[in-house]
Amino acid sequence: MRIEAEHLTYIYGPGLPWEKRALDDVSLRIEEGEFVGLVGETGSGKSTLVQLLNGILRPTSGRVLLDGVDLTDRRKPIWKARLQVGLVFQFPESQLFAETVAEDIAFGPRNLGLSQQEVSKRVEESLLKVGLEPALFRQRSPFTLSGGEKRLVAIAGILAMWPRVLIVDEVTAGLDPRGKRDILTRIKLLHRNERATVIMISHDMDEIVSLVERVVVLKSGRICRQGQTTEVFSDEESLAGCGIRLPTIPQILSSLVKAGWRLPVSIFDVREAARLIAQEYHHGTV
Amino acid sequence: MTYEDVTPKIVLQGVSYCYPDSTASPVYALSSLTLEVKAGDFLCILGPNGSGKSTLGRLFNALLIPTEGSVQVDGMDTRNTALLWTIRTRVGMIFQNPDNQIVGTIVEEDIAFGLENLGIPPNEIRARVDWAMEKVGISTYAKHPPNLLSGGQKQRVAIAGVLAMKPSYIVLDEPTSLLDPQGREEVLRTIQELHSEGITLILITHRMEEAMLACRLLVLEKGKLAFLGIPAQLVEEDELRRHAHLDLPLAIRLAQLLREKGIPLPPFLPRPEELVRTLCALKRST
Repeated sequence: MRIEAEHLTYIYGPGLPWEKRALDDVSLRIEEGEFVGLVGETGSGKSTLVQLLNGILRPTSGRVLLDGVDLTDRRKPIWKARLQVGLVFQFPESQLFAETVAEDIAFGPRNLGLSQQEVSKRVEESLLKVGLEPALFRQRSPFTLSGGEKRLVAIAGILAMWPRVLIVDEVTAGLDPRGKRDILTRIKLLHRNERATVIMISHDMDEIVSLVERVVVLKSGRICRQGQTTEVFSDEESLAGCGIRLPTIPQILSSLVKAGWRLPVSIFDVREAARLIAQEYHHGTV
Repeated sequence: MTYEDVTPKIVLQGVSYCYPDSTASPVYALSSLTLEVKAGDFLCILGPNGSGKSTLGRLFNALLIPTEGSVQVDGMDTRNTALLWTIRTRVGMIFQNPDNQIVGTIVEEDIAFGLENLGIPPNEIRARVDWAMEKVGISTYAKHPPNLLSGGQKQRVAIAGVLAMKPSYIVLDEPTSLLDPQGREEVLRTIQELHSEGITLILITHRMEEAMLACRLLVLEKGKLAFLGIPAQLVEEDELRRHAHLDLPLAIRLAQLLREKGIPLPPFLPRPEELVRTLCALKRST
């Protein structure tokens, strides 16, 4: 599904003393099957933007088109379009409520009016997609699961709606390293195998560069930079201006470059970085 | 013997903890742990979710009392309820979510809360609150309502609240896991300063980058001690780290690869800046 945002502006509490322009004239285009990272300081408008993209919020001005259909058209019921954009909020596990994992995941599909058989099929399928064995998890209470498992169940609940776009907001925050890795692996597979369009919000630049192809950087409600990941993360100064620091490896490379080493900066793979640094060390001239 | 005569340290002797459970088989969150934390130490506790980290953290200041074995704080046994308040004043505690730890309507009132409850005279309270705010760098927000502060600022307010009680030890249970990169850096800088001024720290974290700042590391696995040693030692323990899902920080991994490629780097460089500095120095001397 193609997403187009045109001149999106969103103001919280218009006319009130605490009025805040969270987004200011943001235009953006995301093609079917892309994996896009959305980054920016706290309060830069990331979460507001993704809530506009699935119609939870209506823009103060501007519009959102999903495959050309205007999500902000007040004359049309938008719920169908909204269902196609699955949004996984921060700490989605806090929204688990049912007595069993299967019931929790079934809630959304059932509200679509699907048959019991179809609902059960989607529950199984979604559990498999997030890597939880249905036989082991179906009947468990969500509250007996680990933090990482709970979050996977919450994601399965979104996937059971068959969204064509998956948006995840700080999906690894607060998880242990294993939970983190499981979730990121699942999202990578969803993107690769199901050709899902994925938008990922994260504060962890190492995580972003290991996954996404394209990055959009927000600063104070405006797009500050966007482009291919390698391109955006090659320029330390302009990124710093957007309140974003380089990921670990490019940061090290950049510091070496400043000290006179001849190296590229936008290398994210640690082995490749080691190869280039060693080469320059043994043969280069400083 | 008065308690002041004892060498200041926390001693855990054969500590086990079992959460009360209705089911027949008791689940031990911690089993037979013996440990000594001397004054001036900076101990970091690592381990996957459910390995017993938080249980251990809560045993240090008598929030939990061991099911078996004993915990002694400067010679005071935590089982002795008469000593409870002395122990808790001496061992401060910081939790993951700053929002759950803030009670005051403005910053300085929040920090004064604990002192007021101890019945400390007002002028002494004033002096200690000012001192604590100064220490963590939040003096300029003294009159601000805490809810308007950023996550990192709020967490520093919580730390100031503990600091005002003049504790000898501070236990921090994942204090940065919900913060953005800037907030994390603020909190880490603050706690490192506290350590350099002689406060003993016990830091529970999932982040290896943070763990590398500590003097000693303790890794828990299923409630048992899996490792206790200096950070440089853990870097060598490949098998253990793989097992406990503790990935090396990227900068340390890079240094390892560079050594394999014949650059004579010292075995342990915890921070990326040190790696860069050492590389440049080596390059100049070749």
